[in-house]
Amino acid sequence: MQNPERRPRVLVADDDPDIQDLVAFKLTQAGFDVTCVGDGLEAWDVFVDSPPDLIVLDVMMPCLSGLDLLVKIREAAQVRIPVLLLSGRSRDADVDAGFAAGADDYMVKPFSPRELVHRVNGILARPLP
Amino acid sequence: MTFELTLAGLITLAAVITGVACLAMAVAVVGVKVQRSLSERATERRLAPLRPLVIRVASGEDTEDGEALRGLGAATGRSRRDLHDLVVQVLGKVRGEPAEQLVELLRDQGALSDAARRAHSPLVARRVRGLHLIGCCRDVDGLDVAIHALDDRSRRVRSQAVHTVGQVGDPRAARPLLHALRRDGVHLGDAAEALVGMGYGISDALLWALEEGHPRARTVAAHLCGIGGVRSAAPVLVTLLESHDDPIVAAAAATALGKIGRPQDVGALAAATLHFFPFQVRHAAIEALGDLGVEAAVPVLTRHLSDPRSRIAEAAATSLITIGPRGRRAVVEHELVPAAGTALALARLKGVLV
Repeated sequence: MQNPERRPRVLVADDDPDIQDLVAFKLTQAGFDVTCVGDGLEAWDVFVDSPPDLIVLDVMMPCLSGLDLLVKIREAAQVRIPVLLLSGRSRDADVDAGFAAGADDYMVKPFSPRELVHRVNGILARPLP
Repeated sequence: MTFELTLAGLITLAAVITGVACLAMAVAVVGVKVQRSLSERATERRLAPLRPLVIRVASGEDTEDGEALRGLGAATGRSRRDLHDLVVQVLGKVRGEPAEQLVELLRDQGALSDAARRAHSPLVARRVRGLHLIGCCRDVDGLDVAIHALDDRSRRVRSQAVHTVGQVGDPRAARPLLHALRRDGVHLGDAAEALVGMGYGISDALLWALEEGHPRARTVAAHLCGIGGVRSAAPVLVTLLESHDDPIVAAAAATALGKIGRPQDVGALAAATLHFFPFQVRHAAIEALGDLGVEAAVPVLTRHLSDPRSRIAEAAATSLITIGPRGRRAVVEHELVPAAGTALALARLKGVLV
């Protein structure tokens, strides 16, 4: 059972430092404990060391793409960790590919930071499948 | 004193000159790299106190009395120019109220009026940069400047102007944009994307382009009329299809008619499948008959199952399957025809047919 005092941990994986800073600042202000990484492999390492409560994942990242990482996470994890994809790709096919890989939500850049917080809260409030 | 020119002397001289030239180039390259690195570090130093404030505003977490915005407003000189670059960079990543606040900051600091001035600079790079800023800020006040730039002598500037009018999203730019397509240098896909960004107010401009525009403008207009289901454009599209002066335009018109979906256009599309029409028009018309979904097209499409051009035959089979039960029956009846057999196998794989 989760400790109600504990701040939910969010892992942000994006190779753009502006996005990292923006998302980290907004989520920290909203009461989350945020860790940022700049590529897919680093994100995988953090995920393996201490799985977060939610992952905000960019699709286009060096070393390991967001979709590949997502597939790897879904294959490896016994507990389903919610993943929100935050991507510059806005075509229907890209969104479909994101959900097909196992994403719980998909947001397109440029994004509204306020909407991001609402979506993160919404995902975390859902019962685990 | 006299010099005796020997072969060995010449080789030595050439080697010395080459060595000195290489050394000079190496020094120049290192010099440029050092200068760039120093300049980047200086920019980082100047931005260090400003960046957290930009992030605070961009994430919508500024205080009620706008403390961070005030801090940014206080930047002067070189710091202010660097700040504007950073803000433009961040504007491409956020939307909503925080983005509007950042745009207002740029406006208050005169960056937008500077951008409009820069868009008239004799230097191409400056004109592009000015237009880029107007686009990032979706600055309606800069629309006239961007429209003017659609006819710029530089291809790069024209291309940037297309993106800019699309980002501003004002339908007043639709007709000038379509008119600008008479010149090359503007990618048709970019133009179509920019027009989509202008919303529903562009149908008059699309009709104008279909009737009077350059073939490139007609192609884009036909494509968008199809996507947007602009039924009032159908009569003009039929004329463009029937005249087939330009096969690319005629093919785009056929595709658009299929998407618009008026059953009465089946005759014009069926006629465009005949062998004396250019291949791409026939192909587009056959696909459009499938999109139209009218059973009256079944006999025409069935005839094309045995077309000597395999792509025409395959398109006919696919369209017949799309039309519905009567079309599918026709394909099954011709299963021994290669195109029909392939289409049936594909449809079964996709689960369209059991």
